[in-house]
Amino acid sequence: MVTTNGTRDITPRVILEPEPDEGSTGYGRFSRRNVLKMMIYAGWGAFALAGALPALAIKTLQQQKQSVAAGDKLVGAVGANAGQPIKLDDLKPGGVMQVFPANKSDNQNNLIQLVRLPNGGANNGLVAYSAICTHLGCAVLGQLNAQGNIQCPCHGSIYNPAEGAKVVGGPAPRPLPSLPVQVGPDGMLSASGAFSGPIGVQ
Amino acid sequence: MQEIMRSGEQIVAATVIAAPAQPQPTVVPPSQATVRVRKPKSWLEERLGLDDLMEKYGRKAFPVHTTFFLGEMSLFSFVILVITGIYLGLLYIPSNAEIAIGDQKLPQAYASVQFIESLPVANIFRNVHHWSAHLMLASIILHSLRILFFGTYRKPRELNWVIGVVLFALTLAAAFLGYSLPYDSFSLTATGVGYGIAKSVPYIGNIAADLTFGGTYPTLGSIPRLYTLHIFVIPLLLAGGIAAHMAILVKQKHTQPGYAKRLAEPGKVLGVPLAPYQAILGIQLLLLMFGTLFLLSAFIPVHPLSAYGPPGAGSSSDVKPDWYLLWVYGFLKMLPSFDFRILGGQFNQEFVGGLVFPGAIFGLYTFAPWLDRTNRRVLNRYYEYLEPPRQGPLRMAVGLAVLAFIGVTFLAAYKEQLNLSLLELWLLAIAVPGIVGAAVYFGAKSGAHNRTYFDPTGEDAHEVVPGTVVPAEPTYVLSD
Repeated sequence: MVTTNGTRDITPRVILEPEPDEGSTGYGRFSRRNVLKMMIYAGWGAFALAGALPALAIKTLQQQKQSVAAGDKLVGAVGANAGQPIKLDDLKPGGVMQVFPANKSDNQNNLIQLVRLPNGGANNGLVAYSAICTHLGCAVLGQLNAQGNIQCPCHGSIYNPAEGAKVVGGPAPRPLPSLPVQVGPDGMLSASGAFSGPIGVQ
Repeated sequence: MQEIMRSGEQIVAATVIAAPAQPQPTVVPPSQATVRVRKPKSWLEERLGLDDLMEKYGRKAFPVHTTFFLGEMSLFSFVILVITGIYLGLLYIPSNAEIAIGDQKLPQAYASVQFIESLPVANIFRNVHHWSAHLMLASIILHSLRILFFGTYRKPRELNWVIGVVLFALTLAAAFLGYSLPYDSFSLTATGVGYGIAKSVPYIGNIAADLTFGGTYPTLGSIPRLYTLHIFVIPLLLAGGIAAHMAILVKQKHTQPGYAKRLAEPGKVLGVPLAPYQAILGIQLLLLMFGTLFLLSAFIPVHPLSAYGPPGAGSSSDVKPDWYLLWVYGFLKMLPSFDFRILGGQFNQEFVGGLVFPGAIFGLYTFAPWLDRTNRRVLNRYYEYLEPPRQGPLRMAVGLAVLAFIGVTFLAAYKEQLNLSLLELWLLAIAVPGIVGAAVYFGAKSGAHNRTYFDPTGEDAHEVVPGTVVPAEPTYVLSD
């Protein structure tokens, strides 16, 4: 080999193996270097997959909770008459009470806002709605506000019980679902159907 | 300049090592020879070489300024939260399965918090835990606002700013998850609202909410999941983030109050050295915080269980979140209901109010270093000093206008008590930030030509003024 200044380079060279030259070795993309690279990529891929699979397997614990159905007796939810069956006479006109279907109080979404309208009307003026606000799922207040409306303490949604729990204020998107109730021959209250729509946030 | 000493020049007799001396033919008397003796290495020094570490980092200069302690306060609050949290974790039962206590059926989590409240020391720790969460968020917010208004998030510190905003968001998430754990009626309502907001996300809401809350909230899967996130996942991320935040701080050095420019040459940081002065100040601050939090906890208990009661039928009547989440709560109250669909995904008021709005505020905060184009002449240079806020009129105006808007959302949170209508709130929400922003902008601009311009970089040809007196006390050092 002739160096740049014209003298001869006599440095001894020891060549152990041919220089890697992928194009000419005949191995092409399966040269040793490329196969090793592929194995490294495959290793990383397997590692990522091994990490992703357990993540996909994260489960949620859904509890089967019963919803209110026709024939469920209504019992008080809070206060002195919690768990006690409710009679029509327990509720004066203009009164309000939060009740649960008997034996189904473990499901918070079963909470019922029972209102007896002050001016009477069909079914003794008795109306029942889901007590779970349709905005973000808070339970509405146990008392009516000064205008006789149902009020949510969270973000101030207001529903008019006399007009099918129509939204009359605040950010709620839908009226509260209604529940048909009946007065038994003994004066006991019970549900005569299910809620008219899905409960809470949708 | 007498006060300023290079600590390298501080000479301590015992550690002086003789210079590679010429062979000394004369015999040194033993009484003088002791001065030249190499100090014997301590047991630890022999094994770990700690002196090199101290040599490198112990001299890191910390500028002395009241607002420079805010970051330290948030760090110490985190430390206190971890210590008190470990203590509470020893007693708390992360389960909302019901057990019979006397003739009452209570969720286990609630019963265990009742037990914690019945133990005087544990009760104090619970209160301290709650108070330090307030303190951590308050100091993070003030710390970041100081950096925002003085423009020091600009080059080269953008990355550390972003890490800081992520730490802020994580702390907020941890605080919110903490609400769920006592499992009283407030927990049920507050966490239920969180579940509702998560569920309102278009396309992925149902899956995301169930994964985060362990199923349809409340379910038996909820508390273990929220608990693990609160005590393990988020603190781990916080610890890692804090480590990165501090490592970058050490690497990039502190920015300095403007007076440093008159006292020290460019590229030098004027302040007290980490060891021992800053360390002493830090320990002092930590103890002071511990003391204050314990005093507060002893006299002003926070969130006593009896004020809310076990999860019953109705919501507790007081459902407002703490001040650090009150802006989201207030905005949810003032945003009217709407609902539209894009490609089958539902976009409603809950999603926009509960996630898009806070997301937008955090987005604005995160990208502030890139959005802030004030003082263009130093845009691509290195900020080394606090820039007087009035030198960035737009930055100060936008910052204060956003704060004013958040102030209006606080009013919205008390909509009923203040007897404000939606219309009045929205007029305020437009007027107040507008007036504040305009007043600040034009106030800062007026008279700008009368003020001398302060270059926040160290690259202008500034001169150290000899004879200037260092403002506050101890031995100052300069470090590279």
